[in-house]
Amino acid sequence: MQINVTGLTKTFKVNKKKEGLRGSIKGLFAREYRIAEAVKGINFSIDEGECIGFIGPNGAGKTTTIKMLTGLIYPTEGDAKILGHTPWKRENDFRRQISLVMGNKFQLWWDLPAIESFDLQRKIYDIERNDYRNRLEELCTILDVTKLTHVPVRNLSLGERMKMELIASLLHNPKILFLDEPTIGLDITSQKSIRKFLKDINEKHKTTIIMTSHYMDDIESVCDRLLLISDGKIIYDGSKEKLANKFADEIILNVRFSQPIAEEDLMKLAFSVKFNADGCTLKVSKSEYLNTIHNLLNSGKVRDLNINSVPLEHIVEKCYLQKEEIS
Amino acid sequence: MFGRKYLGVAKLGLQENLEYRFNFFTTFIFVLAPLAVHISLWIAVYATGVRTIAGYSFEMMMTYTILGHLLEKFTGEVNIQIKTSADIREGLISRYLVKPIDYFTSEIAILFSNRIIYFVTLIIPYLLVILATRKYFMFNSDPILLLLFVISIFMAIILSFLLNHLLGLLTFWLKEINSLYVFTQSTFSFFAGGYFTLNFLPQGVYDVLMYLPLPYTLFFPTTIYLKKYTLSQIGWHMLIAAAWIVLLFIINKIVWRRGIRRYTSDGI
Amino acid sequence: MKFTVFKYISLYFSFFKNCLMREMEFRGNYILMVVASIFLNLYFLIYYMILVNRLGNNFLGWGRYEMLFFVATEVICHATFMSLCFYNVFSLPDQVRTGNFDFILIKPINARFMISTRNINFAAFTQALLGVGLAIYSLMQLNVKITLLKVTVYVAFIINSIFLMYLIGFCLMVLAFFFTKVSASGSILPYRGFFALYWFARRPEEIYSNVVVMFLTYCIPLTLIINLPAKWMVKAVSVNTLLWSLVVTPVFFALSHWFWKVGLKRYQSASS
Repeated sequence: MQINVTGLTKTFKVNKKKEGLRGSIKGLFAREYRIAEAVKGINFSIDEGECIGFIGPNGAGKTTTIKMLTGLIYPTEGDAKILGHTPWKRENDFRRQISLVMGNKFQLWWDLPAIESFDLQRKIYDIERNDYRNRLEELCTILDVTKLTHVPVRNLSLGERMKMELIASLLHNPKILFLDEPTIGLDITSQKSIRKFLKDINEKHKTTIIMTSHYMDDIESVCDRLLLISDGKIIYDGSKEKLANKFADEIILNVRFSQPIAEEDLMKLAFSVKFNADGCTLKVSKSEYLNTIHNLLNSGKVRDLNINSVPLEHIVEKCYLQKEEIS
Repeated sequence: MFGRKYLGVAKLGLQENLEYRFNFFTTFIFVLAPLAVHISLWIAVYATGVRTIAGYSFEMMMTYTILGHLLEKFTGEVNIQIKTSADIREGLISRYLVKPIDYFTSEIAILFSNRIIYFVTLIIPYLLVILATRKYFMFNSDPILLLLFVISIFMAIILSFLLNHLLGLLTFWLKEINSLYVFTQSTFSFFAGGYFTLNFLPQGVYDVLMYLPLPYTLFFPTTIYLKKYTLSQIGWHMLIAAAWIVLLFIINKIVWRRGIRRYTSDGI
Repeated sequence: MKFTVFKYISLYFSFFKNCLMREMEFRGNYILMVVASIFLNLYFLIYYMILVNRLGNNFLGWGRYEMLFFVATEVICHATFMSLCFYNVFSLPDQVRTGNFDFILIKPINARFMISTRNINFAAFTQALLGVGLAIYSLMQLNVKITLLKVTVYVAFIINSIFLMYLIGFCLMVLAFFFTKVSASGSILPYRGFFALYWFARRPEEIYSNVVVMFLTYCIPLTLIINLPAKWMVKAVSVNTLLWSLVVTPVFFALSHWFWKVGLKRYQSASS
């Protein structure tokens, strides 16, 4: 086990502000607090080379957990062992083996070309010159930014900046890469290349990837395993497929008819029928859908038929509303 | 209604100020430090036996220093330059351009609501200082002079605002103006009489200076209080101050209009 | 595996190089800053010169050129502080607020070192040169015997002063850890606090009563910053003050480091 987390808990004191001017004046002298429980005793373990998607609604405790795993904050209770270290002790040996990338927050020097920041990273992480050169070349080639390393960072587009950030964070070949919303605000092409890049380095170098994201495409392309956190607790820990199977006992059929078909007839074939401008959408159970398709095609009135499983998004959305564990 | 929205803005400005109570409580400690230094300086100097310096007795010098300090903090507002500059640089002005509310007027509304806060925050430490130095502090009880004093303070607030706001507006053209605020504030302080009484300066410089707006933010009100002017002199100087207010108001409006044109066309 | 000292020297050199490159990118701004800072010093200089003049060239025992040397010392200390420490020492509140501090914490580098040395401002160096020029000029007018020993000790005092200023600013800045929810103007707070204290330091200590001088020497070592080096060169310094100056800096440093550790712990348990 590379990462082992037991009973990790984090609570905060949050100021309560009373409304209006009178409240502000009162607030000068006496503050009221409420206790917010961000993370409530979570447990999980991760092996080397896994790709984990850490998802949950806003405020669920994802960023707090990541910060605890990277040693930026202390937990209120609980323990975590990563690569044999306790993260919040911030030992140099530990820090040399991990890396953190945050969407929309940049550690590169703004006015200088990225290459200067890379050189600084080399010094900070004690990377041997040859390793550094090879690694830099490899990373730049995969991300196709070799020509941009000498451009001041402020002149790069958001997508290019993110790529430089990723390179900077991988130069020292960390064992674990933490990513907090890495593709936020990026265009489709950049998102795609970054996803492919993450998958590549995971396969090539066995880098463990732990990523939070609100883009389901990120999770679907990169991650094998999901950790669903809601209201400070982990409510699901397992593969994507298992979650899909658990929740989605549905297949979605989008049908366009060449001739009108009676609604009652459709209702016999599916448990949910919705008409829209394009035709209609049928929801059928997994055990029945082949039968339904057979019947539809036999009617001879089908012009176009589309078969889809429930998108991961919808599944996850449903899960967000749950508060209990999904086994 | 017109007044209500500006009142609302003023109220929020007040709330914002109070929200950071540590800031609030320590402001007046830090405000007293320079005053303490200046008072110590004059006590030490006059203790060597000298009677008057440039026509200022010990009592006058103490009163000038304390009152001048208070006025400088009360009327001068560095934050206006910084705030206006930041608003422009970070594009917050856009908020005002899309809503039916005028930036300039709302800034003035906030200005006066903040004056109330400042007055309340500052009056306590300064009263303590005056109490401690009451043997040397000159108490003026002439009602006419006091009235003129209050009017001149009012003019000082407006002048200071117009000057600082104008500097902030220069951000439309010169982004770097923000890092110069220490320099601008020192300049303002120096020529307003914040370092020492303007009577220390050579006569020629002094005469020219009195035609410029800066002395009217500090030196002028304080000198009224110290009974160093005849009524006709006060009248004359108030005329100059009023003329500057009008002039600066017009300049502000022109610069704002030009700046906004640049802002919306270039999208800074 | 290099020795740690070499590594940190090499890092400092990287910061130096990066800041220089960055500043050279903005030549206009650089020139503006240089001009502005020269004027700032000018106000201070004029203030004292006019004061000394009005008092018949005797400002509590400081003659005109002695006062000039005092001002020169102030300029040197202030400028060097601004260039080496200022942009670092007051950056912490902003870094905490924007979340950039996390990037520093996560690196296998001493966070205090990084926070304290990352930024170097070159415009302020020019100011320091101005100070040196003024110092030389005033010494020439004073007919003070200048020996190598005197100059060396003077320079040592200046380095000590800058270190003290750094420590004061640093301790104020560590307060940012305890007031994490500070506003934009809150990040000006340590800066205001520092300059409020510095006001006391940049006057000849004769303006204070004996009790205050004691306090400002032994409690908050402000008189050691400008008064000590200036008096060493053009007036006289008591043995007590000399010995104390050797002791105070390392002790202060140790205290500041303890404070830093406490603040860091607070940050790590209170931030979200």
